[in-house]
Amino acid sequence: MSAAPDGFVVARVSRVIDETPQCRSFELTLPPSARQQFVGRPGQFLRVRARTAEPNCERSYSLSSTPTLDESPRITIKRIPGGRVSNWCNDTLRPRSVIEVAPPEGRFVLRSTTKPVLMFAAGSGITPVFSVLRHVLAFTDLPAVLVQVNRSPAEAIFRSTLLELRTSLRGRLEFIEHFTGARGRMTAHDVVAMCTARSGFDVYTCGPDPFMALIEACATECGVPQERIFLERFVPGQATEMNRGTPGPGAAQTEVQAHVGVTIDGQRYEYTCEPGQTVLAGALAAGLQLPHSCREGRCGTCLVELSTGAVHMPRSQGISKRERERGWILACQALPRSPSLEIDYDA
Amino acid sequence: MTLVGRVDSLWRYPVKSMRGERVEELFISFSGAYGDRVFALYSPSADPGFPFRTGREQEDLLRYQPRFRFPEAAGRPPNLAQADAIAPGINPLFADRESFAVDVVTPEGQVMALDDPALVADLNARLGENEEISLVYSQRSFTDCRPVSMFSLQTARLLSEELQMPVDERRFRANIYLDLDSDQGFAEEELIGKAVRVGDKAVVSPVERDPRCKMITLDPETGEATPRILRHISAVHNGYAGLYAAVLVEGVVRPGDALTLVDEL
Repeated sequence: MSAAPDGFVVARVSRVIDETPQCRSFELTLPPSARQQFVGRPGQFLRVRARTAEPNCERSYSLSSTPTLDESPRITIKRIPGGRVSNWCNDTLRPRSVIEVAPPEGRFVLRSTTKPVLMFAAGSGITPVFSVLRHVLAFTDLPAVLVQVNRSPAEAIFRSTLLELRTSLRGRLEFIEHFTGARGRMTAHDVVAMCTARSGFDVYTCGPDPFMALIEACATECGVPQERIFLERFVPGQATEMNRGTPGPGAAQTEVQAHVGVTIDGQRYEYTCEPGQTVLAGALAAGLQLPHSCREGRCGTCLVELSTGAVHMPRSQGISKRERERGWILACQALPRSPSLEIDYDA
Repeated sequence: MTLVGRVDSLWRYPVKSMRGERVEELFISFSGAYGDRVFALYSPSADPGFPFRTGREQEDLLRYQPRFRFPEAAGRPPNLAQADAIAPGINPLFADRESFAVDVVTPEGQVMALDDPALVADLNARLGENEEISLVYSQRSFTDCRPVSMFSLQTARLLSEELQMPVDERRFRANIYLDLDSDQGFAEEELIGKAVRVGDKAVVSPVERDPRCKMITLDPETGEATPRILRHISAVHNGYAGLYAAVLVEGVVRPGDALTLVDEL
């Protein structure tokens, strides 16, 4: 196995686990020289590049393994209807298949070793939550509560493991299941009751945006400080979302073609981003040289104001909270989520 | 030997991303300038390959002024004179961590010990987050890439002309600011691959141009960002400004020291 450019490493699938009918986990073997880079932290994700003939097959998938417990990294990929990479992985990857992965990254990690955790996960959002939870249970004495939301037991990823943990840990883990098929969606009343009964807990959540918005709003209502609520904006391939102005009929959850208007040095230009192209890549493909350097979301050269539209950014370490609050994005990372965008370098 | 310029000023940054201090002498070692970036803020949520909280994530860090509590102890290796007396190449000892104790003046003028939990709380409150960042210490400087950085006044002047705005050379957070005999900006790049004696003993070898990031967009006093500085450098100067250097011979350097090309060591 050898190293690929851009920090990616060629990994071999060592084991495939059927988690649910729509979801598989893939345990990976890394080249010895890369293992130290991939130590990572529970809750982080890997960028994965599928070796297909199609372009733009890079996605981010959370580690479902717990790096502090498990020797080999494991990613869990649920099929997304129409998703190229999720379906390719589930259909194609077998033991000894190869994919390219980049070292773990991300900010959805355990933030305190002194505060008990209240975790809400919906669907495949269980992936990073599961990783962090196992670390909490193995390395701390903190009380832990996990609320897992799925349509049915058959779709609940890691269910059997979680039930075993609840049994074996004898009350240390409070594991609450909510099946929407039987009970309907979780309501604000449900969430407020859970938060109210667990004052002083840090709140972690991962799942579809409306679900996380509900959790965040209810936790806030119950007095959980904003800085103790941790979200992983878990849409495949996404770590940060930005919505500005009027993005249209709601930001899409999959790749879209976007018409981009850009103002730079007093001039305005327009181009089209194809599905899966970043704002920067689309511009360069159209012959428009926008400022950039590292193309990895680190240097900040491509920072630009998003005036209108919605994007998500798989990596966003080169952008500060202040810049995000001002509506800035990293063009090299921003994938359009609305059919039109306006960005302004002169702002 | 060919004289190419002189040292204009010397800086070190006791805490990574916090404000620097100008010094009248600086011991440059194989692992960095003495007392430079000996402390950093470790962030558990940052990329493991670069696990720090820096001005990229929190611009306000530049408004915090660290000061060594014991300036003499933190000024040069404690047995430097004795080591030099044995032979010029004897490696001196570095002082212990206690000798490098730092106090930090916050933007509001409050003075706190660097290892005071209240300082982390102050930083987190300013950022609006409550991450458990921790202090890390190393005798080897927590620079981004290479042990020593250099930047010429001439480059700063050229950038000021190109950008039509004053460009404070402190934005570039170099250790050694050069006043070169050439009046051309970016002339320091001609030193790459050469051996340069600084003063009468230390020798450095610039190894590469310094690839820039948004740190240079931050005003050294206010932390306010001017992104077009980085965009300009990216567009016109391929993203580089200044030099990274390795240290071939350790030694004390001072403002005014001659910079001479070395034919043989």
